[in-house]
Amino acid sequence: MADAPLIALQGLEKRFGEARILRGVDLEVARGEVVAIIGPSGSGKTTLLRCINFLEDFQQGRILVEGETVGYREEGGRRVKRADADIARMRAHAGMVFQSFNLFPHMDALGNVRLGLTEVRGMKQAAAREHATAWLERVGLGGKLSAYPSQLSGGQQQRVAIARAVAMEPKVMLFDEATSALDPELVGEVLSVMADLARSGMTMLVVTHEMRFAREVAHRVVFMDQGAIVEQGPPAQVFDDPRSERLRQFLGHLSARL
Amino acid sequence: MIDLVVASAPLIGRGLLVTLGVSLAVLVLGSLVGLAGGLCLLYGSRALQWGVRIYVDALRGIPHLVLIFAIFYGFPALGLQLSAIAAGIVALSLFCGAHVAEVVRGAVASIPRGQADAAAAIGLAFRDRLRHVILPQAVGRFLPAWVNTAVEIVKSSSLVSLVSVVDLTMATQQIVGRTREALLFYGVAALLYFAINFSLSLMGRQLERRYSHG
Repeated sequence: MADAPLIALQGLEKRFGEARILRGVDLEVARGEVVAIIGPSGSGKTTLLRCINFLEDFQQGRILVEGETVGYREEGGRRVKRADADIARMRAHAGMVFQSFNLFPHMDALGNVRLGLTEVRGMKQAAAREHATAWLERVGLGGKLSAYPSQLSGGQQQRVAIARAVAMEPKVMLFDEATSALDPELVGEVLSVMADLARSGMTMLVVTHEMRFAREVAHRVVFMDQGAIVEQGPPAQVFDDPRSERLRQFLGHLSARL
Repeated sequence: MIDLVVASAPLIGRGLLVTLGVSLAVLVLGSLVGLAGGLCLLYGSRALQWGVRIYVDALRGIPHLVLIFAIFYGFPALGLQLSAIAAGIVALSLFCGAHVAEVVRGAVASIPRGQADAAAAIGLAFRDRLRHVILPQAVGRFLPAWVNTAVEIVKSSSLVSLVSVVDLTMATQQIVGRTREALLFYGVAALLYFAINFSLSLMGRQLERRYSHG
């Protein structure tokens, strides 16, 4: 892995009105690293992910992707919001997969994957089609190119969503509870695509409740609670030898549920 | 009776063309104004949202005829003399725009936020998010209400006859004045208005099917 982090979050603060959702979060992610973010509901995991590609604004702190600040430029110590086109350009570097898939219902699977290739990356239709087809084949959906989202199962929809994001060849992939909305028997097919991506060297931030996936695939596990990172480390340490009482409680609740 | 109708057909035809022309012009202009207004209500600066909100609420509370008269008889005092037909088109377009703005706002606002998020996440800029993701989905949702507005506009176009535009209504009045066959010719006019609006509804239903996404 390269020395300079691919992503650096520095003192990230996010508030909704009076509520502090993120409380000065610092986090660095190296190129090729897979970081699983775990924690109870409302701990700020999803908000953290959404801030990284500026789907959420933040009030303080900085996010750097390859040294470039996300959302704001800094001019003489002041934060100046970037232009829409600039924000859009940077978003294309961070592919995102959502809990509820968010496929475009008026486009077939191929159209969903091709849209960003033609409109953002400026690829010609034929090249975009070829590239999109290759990614849909890679996630096991080569036979569903013309299927509309309403004709696909949840697992298939999420795999199209992954193909749509990865086809843009982003620097990092952000997964926001990508399997939480799926029937249990469909979770495996999505996790297997995610594990395949991780093996290919993709940098990934994965907000997940799938502890087995976090243990087996992630290089590092970050535990968040109440808008702050409470503990982080290699999966074996976080799961088998938690240092903080809060993480012990969280893991205890999980194992009680299983 | 048939002779009377045949003899009056050229005047009815000319009136019908005027009604169709006025309605079409109002729907095109009003829809453009409404699309812009609806997007301003959703995405405009606070001042712009405020201004458009006043326009929409004010226009929806004024009788159509009052605005037609105000523009036709009142604008000359401001040094702006519009022909009767132009005054009618401007007034009805303003009404149409106010209705369509609210329809567009409602349709776009009903698209789940995740759609805009997903479009943003692949790097689409605001204009492309609207063009490729939000508006194509909103069309299916605003078509039923837009067709209702279009039907209202066709019916309201008869008000231009009150500033002496020879549309279908005025043509019918002239023929009835000449022939004294009120029931027959108002019946013909009613049938023609119904045919236009029924065609609009059928077209709307077809478009709705085309743009509906399960």
